[in-house]
Amino acid sequence: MISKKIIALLSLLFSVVFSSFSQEKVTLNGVVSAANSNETIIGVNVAVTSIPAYTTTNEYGFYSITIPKGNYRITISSIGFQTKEVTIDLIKNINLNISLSESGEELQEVIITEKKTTNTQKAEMSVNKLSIATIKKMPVVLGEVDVLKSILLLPGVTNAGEGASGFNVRGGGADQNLILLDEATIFNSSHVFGFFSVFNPDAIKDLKLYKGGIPSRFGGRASSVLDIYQKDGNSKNYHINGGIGLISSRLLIEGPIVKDKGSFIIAGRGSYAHLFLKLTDNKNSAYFYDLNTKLNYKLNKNNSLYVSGYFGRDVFNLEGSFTNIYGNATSNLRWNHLFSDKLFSNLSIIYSDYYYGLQLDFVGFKYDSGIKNYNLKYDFKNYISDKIKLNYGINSIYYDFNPGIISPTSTESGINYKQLEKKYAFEPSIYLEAENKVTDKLELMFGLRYSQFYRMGASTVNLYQNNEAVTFNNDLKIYEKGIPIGTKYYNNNKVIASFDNFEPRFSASYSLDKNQSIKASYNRMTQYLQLISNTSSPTPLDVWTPSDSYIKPQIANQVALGYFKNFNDEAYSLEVETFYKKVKNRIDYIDGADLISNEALEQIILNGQLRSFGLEVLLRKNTGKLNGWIAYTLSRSEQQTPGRNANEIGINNGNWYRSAYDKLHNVAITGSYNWSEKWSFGANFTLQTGQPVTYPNGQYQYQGITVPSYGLRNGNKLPTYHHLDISATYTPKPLKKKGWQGEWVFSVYNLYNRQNAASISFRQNETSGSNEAVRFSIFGAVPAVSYNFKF
Amino acid sequence: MKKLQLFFLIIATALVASCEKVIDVDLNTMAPKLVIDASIKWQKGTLGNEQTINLSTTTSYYSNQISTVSGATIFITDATNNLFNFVETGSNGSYICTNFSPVLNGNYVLTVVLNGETYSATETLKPVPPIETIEQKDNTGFSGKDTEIKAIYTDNGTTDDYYLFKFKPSFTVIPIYFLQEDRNFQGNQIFGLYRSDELEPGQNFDVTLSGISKQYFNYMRILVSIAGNSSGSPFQSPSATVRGNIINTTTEANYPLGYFSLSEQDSRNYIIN
Repeated sequence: MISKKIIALLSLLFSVVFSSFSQEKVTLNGVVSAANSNETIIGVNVAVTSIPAYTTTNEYGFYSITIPKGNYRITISSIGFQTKEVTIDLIKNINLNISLSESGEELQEVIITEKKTTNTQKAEMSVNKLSIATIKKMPVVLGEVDVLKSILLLPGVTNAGEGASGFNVRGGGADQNLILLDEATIFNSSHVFGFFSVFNPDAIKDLKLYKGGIPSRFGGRASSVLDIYQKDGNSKNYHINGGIGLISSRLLIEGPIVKDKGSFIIAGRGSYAHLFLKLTDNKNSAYFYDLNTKLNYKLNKNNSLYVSGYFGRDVFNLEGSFTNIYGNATSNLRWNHLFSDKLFSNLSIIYSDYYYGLQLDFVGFKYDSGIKNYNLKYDFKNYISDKIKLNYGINSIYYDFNPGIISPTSTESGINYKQLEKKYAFEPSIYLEAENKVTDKLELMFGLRYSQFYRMGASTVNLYQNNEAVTFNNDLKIYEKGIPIGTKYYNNNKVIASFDNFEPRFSASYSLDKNQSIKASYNRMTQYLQLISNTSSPTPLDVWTPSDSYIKPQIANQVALGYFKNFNDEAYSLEVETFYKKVKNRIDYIDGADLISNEALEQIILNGQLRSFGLEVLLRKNTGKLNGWIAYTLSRSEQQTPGRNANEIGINNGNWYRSAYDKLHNVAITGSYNWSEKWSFGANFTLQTGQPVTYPNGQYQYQGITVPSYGLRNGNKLPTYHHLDISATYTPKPLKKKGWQGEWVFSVYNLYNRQNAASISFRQNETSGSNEAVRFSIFGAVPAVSYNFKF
Repeated sequence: MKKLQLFFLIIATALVASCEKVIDVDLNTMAPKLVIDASIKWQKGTLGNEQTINLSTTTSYYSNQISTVSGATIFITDATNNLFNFVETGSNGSYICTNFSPVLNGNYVLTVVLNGETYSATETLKPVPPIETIEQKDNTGFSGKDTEIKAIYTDNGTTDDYYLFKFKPSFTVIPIYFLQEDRNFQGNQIFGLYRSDELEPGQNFDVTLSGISKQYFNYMRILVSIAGNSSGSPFQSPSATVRGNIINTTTEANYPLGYFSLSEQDSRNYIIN
């Protein structure tokens, strides 16, 4: 049945591909790269204004455009680079590699003119792109440039607050974001429980956040895709750059392997141990480090190889009695091959894992857990004509979940050894997508992804009465863990449960004139992995688990509508979008659920749904000494877990309640001002509705302690969250282009020392026994200085 | 696992200039609800004939008054239909029984009649192994300044057991509850652990270990987590009103709070060295 669907889709795919070649046209293709480093550039606009026709470079800097024979003026433009014009006599197929010079200065941090204009023509919508240069100019807490913190300034993106890891896109959970680093899935994006992100800004080339209208090549998460690409490395010259900050130091080395053909990059970052644990004895340490590497080699005109890797760890060691180590590791091998000047392909073999280990010597307890995945991807981009481009490919992921090994740390320990049963799953998928310029005004992107998911053995599965792993105690009106009536053992690779879903994707853009357009999109996303977490933001202790007989995959449907405009000669751009998203099978937990080292997660999970809707406004100033943006989001995010039948009360009596990431208002303003060649300034202002929480509505005494009683879930909210941050960058010798070049970055986070509440808790005072409310805030005003260098 | 989260909080707070402050927060108050605190405790080596049940209602969160309930009829019956009456004494909401007869693994039914409504619950009296020794260790913990108390016992390897520790150092008015299930130490010698930098030589330290049912374990775990002193971190779990095992058989929706539990317990008083 399933294989028939695949064959049908495949034949559809190839019939489209091979029936649409045209004769009269010729193809111009090539790679666009930076002049000083040969670093390929993503998303470069290659436009033939006289037709008009345009294309953009893909993730590997490749472009291809097929147009009638003729003499053309081609405009090549990209963020952070000087626009280049080339006149070309196009009488046959031509391979043209183009190099662009960086605009402004050698140091990326002081780029003055950038092309940031909204692309009003392209059907792509709900996408935000940030250049690393923009990110580096934003003031950040403790002076640590942070990729994840900067995307929080975009409309539709929030997080649970300071010191909370992850981010929420359009009212979705942090687990619903697909975070890719060079195509490898990153399962935990934070260092130090959310204070810093795992991405070393020096090693990052480009990032793109898809909030809606998600292209068919992405799948596996319900809400968004954050696609991050590492730098390839300079294949012309050797360079070293780095930075010294209050928290960590960074060093990056890049250079050619074979000049103009291959290059390497290696970047390391480490925090200082002991620095923040201001405790007298020196046996404590807390630090993180990460390492990014990449090699690339251009075999010939049609073939390139890339090898990249990431390894990061957080290490906490308290007095030798508590050790906690966690982190991601990824590695991948990619092969770019041009089948023809119109058919680009990339084959990737990707491995990624997340490890979490904990050792509590004082109770003799050791816990090791993790998730591994092996991913094979083959993606094609077929530039059929200037009107049609096809993207298609296959993807298959094999997952190996280790819920945990519990072991004693010494012979005196009372802990018994136990391997919680491992889980395995396989997720194959196939997709086909067309980008079609129907008329000069109308562009469409439509695609279909077909995904399957197999939960596989070897595994022992619990069986329950009526297939209900959670039972409802009708007398007490509470949900309880079901008691298995038996178990069933599945052999190696035997399918325990399987799912398959069609995921249609569609977006359209209609240009009202050269500078304004209306866009609409629809996408369905399926998420087969569930994050088991009892907090509103991911912690390193979270457990990923596959869908199975009891836990169903999340299915999200989203529609979005937007208006886009560039005005004042493209000095300003305005993006207004509205969206509605609904996610089926959003899980919730029965009261008192124990999530860690739980062997039967199905016994604590109830299926509910999530819905969110909102309006996003982004107004940007793109040019001049002062540029930046104002983003405003008005949105609502709600969850509901009704009873499964008339007797059951569900969670929160089955009523809709605000999800933990509901933020009604969210304002972010960011700006940078180039005062002179030596001095530039940046500022951010953020204001958000406080996070939903549940406050007590009464209290009682039970067994000598005071117990609060609660009303409906998330009926209250924390005080409004806001802070203003500023930074100043000083470049002592801005004209120096060779040898040692340095800059100082001074910043103050939370300038007016706002005590934002990370939480408000209610407790009984230890001495008086009276109840009190306690606000816990993480950052007051935090000044910082860091020094960056390059030679 | 709440404890683990606490460790993270400690790390997180040590990392940054975080700050805790007592603030005023306006709170709504729900209509008063009946609370039945019916914990039958049989201390090893005693007859267990004297038992107390307390009735009260919920009050506003900041109130310092306990709103006690009088005029209730309370009795417990055992498996052989023996009736144990709890008689109101004074006006502090306490109802006392002097002829209770505990039997290990015996089933009991509690009945409370108040203002024409009947409340009922069923539970089993759970046994407990003895506390074998108490060990003290000084200058330990993350700060190196903590004093650590370990109460050591041996789990019964043939049954799935649930334990409730109550630690009550004399420097605080609030007892600390700590729950354990034998899932990871079936049949082994294990301990309950308490650490504080406020323990001083000469202070009294009371430890009580109770055997409890699985259902009461689940109840107490939620109760302890929302009772405040262990929560309040960025890792806070959603708060909910915790429902016990007592049913209002007259008006189902008007359910009471509290729990009817029966435990064998072993108490020790330890003087800090």
